[in-house]
Amino acid sequence: MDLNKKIMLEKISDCVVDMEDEEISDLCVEYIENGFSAYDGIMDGLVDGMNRAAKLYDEEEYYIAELLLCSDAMYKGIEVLKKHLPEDFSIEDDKRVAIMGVVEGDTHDIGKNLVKIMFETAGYKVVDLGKDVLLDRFIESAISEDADLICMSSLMSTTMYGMKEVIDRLNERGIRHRFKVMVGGGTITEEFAKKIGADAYSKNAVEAVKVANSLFT
Amino acid sequence: MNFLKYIIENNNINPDFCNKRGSCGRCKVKLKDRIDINSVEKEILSKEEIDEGIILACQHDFTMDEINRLDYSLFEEGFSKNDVDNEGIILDFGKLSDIKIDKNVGYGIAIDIGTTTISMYLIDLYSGKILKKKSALNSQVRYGLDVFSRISHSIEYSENGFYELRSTLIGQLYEMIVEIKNYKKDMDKENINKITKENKEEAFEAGAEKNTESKIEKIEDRRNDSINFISISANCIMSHIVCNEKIDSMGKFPYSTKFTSSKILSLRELFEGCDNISDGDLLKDTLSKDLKVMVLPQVSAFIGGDVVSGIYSSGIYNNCKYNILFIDIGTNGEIVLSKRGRLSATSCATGPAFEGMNIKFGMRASSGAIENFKIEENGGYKIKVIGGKDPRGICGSGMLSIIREGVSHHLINKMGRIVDVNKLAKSDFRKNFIREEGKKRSIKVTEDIFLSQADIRQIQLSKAAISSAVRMIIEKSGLNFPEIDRVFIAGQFGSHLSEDVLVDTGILSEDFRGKIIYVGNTSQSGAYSYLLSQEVREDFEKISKSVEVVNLVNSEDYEKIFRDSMFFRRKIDE
Repeated sequence: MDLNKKIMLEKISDCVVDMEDEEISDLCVEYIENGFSAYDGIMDGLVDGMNRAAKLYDEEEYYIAELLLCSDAMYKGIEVLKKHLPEDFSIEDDKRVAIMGVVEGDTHDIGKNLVKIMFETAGYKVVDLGKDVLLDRFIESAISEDADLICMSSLMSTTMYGMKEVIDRLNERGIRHRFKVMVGGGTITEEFAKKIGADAYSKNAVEAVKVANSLFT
Repeated sequence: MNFLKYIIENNNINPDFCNKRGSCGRCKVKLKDRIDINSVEKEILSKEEIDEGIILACQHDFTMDEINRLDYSLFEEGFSKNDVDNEGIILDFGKLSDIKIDKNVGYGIAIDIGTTTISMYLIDLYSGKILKKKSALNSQVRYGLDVFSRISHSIEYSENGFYELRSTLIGQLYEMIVEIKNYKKDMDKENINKITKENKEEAFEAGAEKNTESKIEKIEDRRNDSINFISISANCIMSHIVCNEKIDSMGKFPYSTKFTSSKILSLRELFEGCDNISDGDLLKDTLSKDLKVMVLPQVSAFIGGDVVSGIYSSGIYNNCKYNILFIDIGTNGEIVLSKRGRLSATSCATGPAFEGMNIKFGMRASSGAIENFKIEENGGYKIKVIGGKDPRGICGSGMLSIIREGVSHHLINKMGRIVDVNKLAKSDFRKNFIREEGKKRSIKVTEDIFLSQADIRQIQLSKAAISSAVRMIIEKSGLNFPEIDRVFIAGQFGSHLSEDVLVDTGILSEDFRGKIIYVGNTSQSGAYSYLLSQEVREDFEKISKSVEVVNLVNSEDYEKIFRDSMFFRRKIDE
């Protein structure tokens, strides 16, 4: 690889890790002006930085706020670079599809937003249903998007049984086997996930990606 | 039945646990006969403990038969007796303002039903004099420490759950009322003992029971002698339970209520459906059969009668000439802003971190809790423990003081990360305060007690919840932080957190330093005023209808503000 390109990619990655959401736009513009591949800029620069941030989260160095700030930088960079992707380029095709949302009756979505960021970084196509999502909507969306994974989150003990309801309805309709179901959130535990018949539980956004990936290997 | 629940109820234990999540590890019980344990227990318990037959009580459900056959012993450190010596905890709000008393006859009881503590005053309705005070732990705690857990109980046990919550509460209220009313009987007994035969007349005047035949006089006596009015100041969920109205919808967005107006219940309505109290009990000299129970008006599901009481008691409505922030910090925090009398309010999910839950060595502010931590000039440290004896854990104010010391002495960076002890010079005093075990760092408070990185993160979330809600409500009003003239902090819990610790950690802005005033239990004082005066009741109606509720849910900026509020810094714009 061109040394100059390598250096620029490292700088871009560093900007993400260092949460430099202002500097990064200029840097990405410079990168493009040098004639380098936008795709590589995204994968080996921005996504690389986000993955390093995720590792720092794992090591307890970074927490939620840092990841959100890093992702701000990453998305700023993506805004610049994606305009320069080849026209017929579709990154979406081979991606696994994850439906994501906060369960009906709950509006705490910061955790879910972070999970979405990590999943997109990891190459998933995320269909974000938002918060206070009607239970049937998880199912309808999974069907219409031909999803691989349904992710539900809840922070409150009063709404978490909605997750069980979704799984029960999937069973009733005979389509449970078509989707992997993963749950998480402040009041959710491994025990609860097992009890309601979910395929997996993850305790934070970074772990969620690893757990999801393991469901498909 | 859940094993921990059984232990708490049958051993009068302080319910200071993490709500069956298996994270606090305090409910260790040793079983003689081995049983299977789950993954949560495997994570918390050490190999030695597991080999010894130790389990976490909260993770097991048994039938009564099984429990009776169990040979078990409790670990003392986790279980402490219910030390309900709450008398000293009720703070009165300075001078109760001049109110126009109705001057009814007989007695009244003003009750503050908090999620954790119930407090009541026995009052002479004619003079307004407070005759006796009483408080106790709300026995509903067995169904959950916080209000959401109790709503969950009602949802999960749809047949009986609500009834259990209600009968427990009403039953406890009845017991407390009977006890508090016996104050007068005790006084009578004293007087009778002092008096000789010749002083029978004096005996009548001293309040001993009259021996009269007149039926009218008997009724008059009863009215003079019984409780004729009760006022209840409580959050919206508690108020619904008292009024026998379902609470499930308040556990889910959009948190709709069955009512928010003030309510009046009769004797029969108050005790409706409570099989634990017989009709005979009710009329025995204590409660008037014409009893009126007045439940204070609410604003919304999370801004309850207790907050309206706070607004009234602190005088921040109407002709208030200042900009005042009123905060009641609890597992749910309520924040009211008065912009020269114009009221807005919001609530936030502070979470139970400040009350010790989900924190490794976290506990309530009771005996054995470290409530202050200071690093000294010479690199040593000093701790202050409630009750003065050996520390067993850390309470909210202790946690915040540790963080304050940690940040100011560069043990913890502003983002909340504990510094790398391996990067410190050998002579660096900081080495004494940081522990690293297998990549996990913690702040060492004593030899056995520490605050872990994960604990600090939990505290950051609680901090962010409060700070961001305060910021949102101030920004929405168009005011700047320096324009806030005073910050009133209400409630028992808030009273433990000093101004220094709240501002130094950045939970409250540097702009509030020197402006914080602790106003005590304004819910109780509001109930008191409401009980005595029609004029006050009219004011409460007006207040409850004039508060603008600020919803954090729909604010686009909220995530950014929440994120920024997680950092430990003193100036909001730093």
